[in-house]
Amino acid sequence: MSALPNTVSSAKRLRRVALIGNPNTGKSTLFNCLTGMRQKVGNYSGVTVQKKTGATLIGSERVEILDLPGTYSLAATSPDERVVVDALRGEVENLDRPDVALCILDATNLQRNLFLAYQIGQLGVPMVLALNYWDSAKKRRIDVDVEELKARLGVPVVPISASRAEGIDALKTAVGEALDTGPKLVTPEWPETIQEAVSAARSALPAASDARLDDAAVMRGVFESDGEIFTRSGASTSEAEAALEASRKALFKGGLNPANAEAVLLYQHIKEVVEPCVSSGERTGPAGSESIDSILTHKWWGLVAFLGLMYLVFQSVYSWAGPFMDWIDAGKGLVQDAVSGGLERWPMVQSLASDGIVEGVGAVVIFLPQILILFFFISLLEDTGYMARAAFLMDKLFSWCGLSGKSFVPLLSSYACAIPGVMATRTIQDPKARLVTILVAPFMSCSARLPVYVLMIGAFIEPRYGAGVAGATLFGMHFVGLIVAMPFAYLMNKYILKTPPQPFLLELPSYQIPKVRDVFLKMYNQGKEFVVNAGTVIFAITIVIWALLYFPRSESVALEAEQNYVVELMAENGWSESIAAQRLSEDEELGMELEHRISSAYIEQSVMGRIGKTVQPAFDAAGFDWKITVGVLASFPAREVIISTLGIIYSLGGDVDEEAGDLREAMAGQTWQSGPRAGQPIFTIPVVIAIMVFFALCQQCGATLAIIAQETSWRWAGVSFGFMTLLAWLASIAINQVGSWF
Amino acid sequence: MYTETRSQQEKRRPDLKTLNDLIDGQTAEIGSYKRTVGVSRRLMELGLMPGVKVRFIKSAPLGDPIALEVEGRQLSLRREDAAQIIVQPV
Repeated sequence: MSALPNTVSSAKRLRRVALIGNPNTGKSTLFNCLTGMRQKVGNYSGVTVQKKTGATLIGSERVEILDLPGTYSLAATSPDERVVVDALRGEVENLDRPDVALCILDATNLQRNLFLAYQIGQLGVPMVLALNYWDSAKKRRIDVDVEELKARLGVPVVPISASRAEGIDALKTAVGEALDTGPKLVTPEWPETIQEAVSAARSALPAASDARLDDAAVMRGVFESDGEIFTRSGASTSEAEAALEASRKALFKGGLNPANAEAVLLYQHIKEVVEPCVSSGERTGPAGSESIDSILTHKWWGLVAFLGLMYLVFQSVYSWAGPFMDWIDAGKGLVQDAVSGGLERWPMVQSLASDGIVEGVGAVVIFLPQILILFFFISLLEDTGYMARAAFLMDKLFSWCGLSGKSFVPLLSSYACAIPGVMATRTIQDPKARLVTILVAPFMSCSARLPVYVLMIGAFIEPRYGAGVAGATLFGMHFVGLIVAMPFAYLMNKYILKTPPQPFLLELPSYQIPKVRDVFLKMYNQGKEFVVNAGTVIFAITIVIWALLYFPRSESVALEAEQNYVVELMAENGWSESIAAQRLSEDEELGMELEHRISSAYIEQSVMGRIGKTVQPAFDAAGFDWKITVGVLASFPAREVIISTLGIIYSLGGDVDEEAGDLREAMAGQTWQSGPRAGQPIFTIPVVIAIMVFFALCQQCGATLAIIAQETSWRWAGVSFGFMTLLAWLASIAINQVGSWF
Repeated sequence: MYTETRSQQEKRRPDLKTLNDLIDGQTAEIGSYKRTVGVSRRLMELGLMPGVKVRFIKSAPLGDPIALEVEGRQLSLRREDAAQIIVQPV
């Protein structure tokens, strides 16, 4: 978001409607229905909760719709819920209190849904209620007396079917009227004890913070037994605790349990209000869902169906994205050629444009096919209601180490690429399980590691041990990260992320047919957010690495490389200097070889080359020479870069791929130039395995770091980077050292 | 933290059943919560209030978590949390 004040909106701010509701009430469908393509996606400042806003026309007035995260209650235990409370109280930076809360309720489950509505009403925000799933309520013979409900609640109540766009006009009219009249929900008459508890808390708070909080806010603090509302109004932690203690005493005295006073009293009240308005033909859930579940969560068939579906999702991200990525790559090549052709006279600008800018844009766009395909499937899985079943099936496998059943899809996608994988963790509501999943995701063996494995295995394992061992090694490499990740998650969960215990709660919503527009908009928003946020960082990293590999670039390096080559040609062929020079300018093959040698010399002289030589001693124990070290360092923005970097360093040019025979030959021919190992080959089997394990464990992906920072914070991105790199370094040393004993 | 094993519990109060002890298809009424920390507040907010009837649908293929029907909705809980809810089978 722009840091500059938006002059249009500050002159005449649009009136704002906050859309809020329980999960699985069709909130996104209603939001998409109201706003269409007029949506903006961003983050709330300071927290990593997705902020979705859009605009809709009510009459001739443009009204802003703020889509708040779905929640069951305002009792804040996660950042999502905290944002909801803050937004409704007008405490979010640059975001005034909404003019109306549009609360969407599931008409087939009014009592539970009204719990949240009452909590919002208590905060004093004007309200309109939308009763969604009106069609299925009718089908299930649940009869709601809308007029009676309206009269009892004191706010407009509009039945809608968001997926069929029914009742939307009536809803808009009701919201338009509410913007002018500000109808408020008739709040329950709380027993004396509650008022006493609020007063007790107030008198224990310092005057300044007491003055900043209204009764509704203090009541939330009392009900939640959580001091955060108090501390944020200026009270110290001990003062907040004293206020809570005073309120608890008052509640106990009145015979209420502080842990459940709100739930008990509010549900009692809701029951009294709602029961006369609702007559229900059948009390059981929709029969359809349970009969589908008799297969999809069946002991055996459920697992078979699950594995089949996951295989499809993985295949699509892994394989179907391939052609699109190839086209992007080819397109990038064409643009690079065109740009290079036009800029031949200015080599620095040419290299910056081609290897820096175009490469950087390509590095961002290349991820889009995988992200879009994955989110296509994720929207389908979520909108049909299957995602919750998948979590139900898989939870046992993940719960022991602090992950949840919902971690499965993100981790599986991370096997294709950690970028969409980390983005997919948004489906995990529990903030702790989400963070652990994000930190574990980059350990999964993504497709960018594959070229490294193929190169190493093809060059050294297969010629020596045959195709069988080669295949087994490739298979085994895909589990290295997973084996390390699970205990890591366990330790992380047990010793580092200490949060109060939260029950694992999963609603298994009724199966639904997904809406094409919802699926499309989700893909579009995710793709756009990636390009805008993470894309910028990925682009910047690419430019920085380009500069490190390009500078300094003095003419003398090229001249020296040419001189050396001429001398070599003279010695090899018995040519005189002038013949050698002439051949060099005429023979295309020799010219190409010279160019490769110059590139190689430049890399050696570049800042990155020097850094590589400087830090090489740290990798000495792992058996990496300075060339491998430069390859490793240059791969920090993206792992697959090592192939082309090695190609340049070994004077083969940057266009080599992992199947290239000459690259394999060049590597096999590398020997130590000096030191105790002088003359011995560099790429021994332990070194080869050490390199592969290093790539398996290391956080060598600028894009992943950028996306982790986007989804959490730079602090966690730093933790991920530091921990994985350290682990990779230690593991590669251990493997080379142990391997050398045999 | 020390938690009672099932058998210890049953020795003490053999009639005390939790949500965890129900079998597929069995219906029970929620009595009270063993621990009244954040866990119970969350569950109650979702409608798992004392007096409410729940039907145990089934457990997941790997034994945990379990699926319940509460007021026409299907919810899933881990056994660890379900063991906190004392029920009266009906």
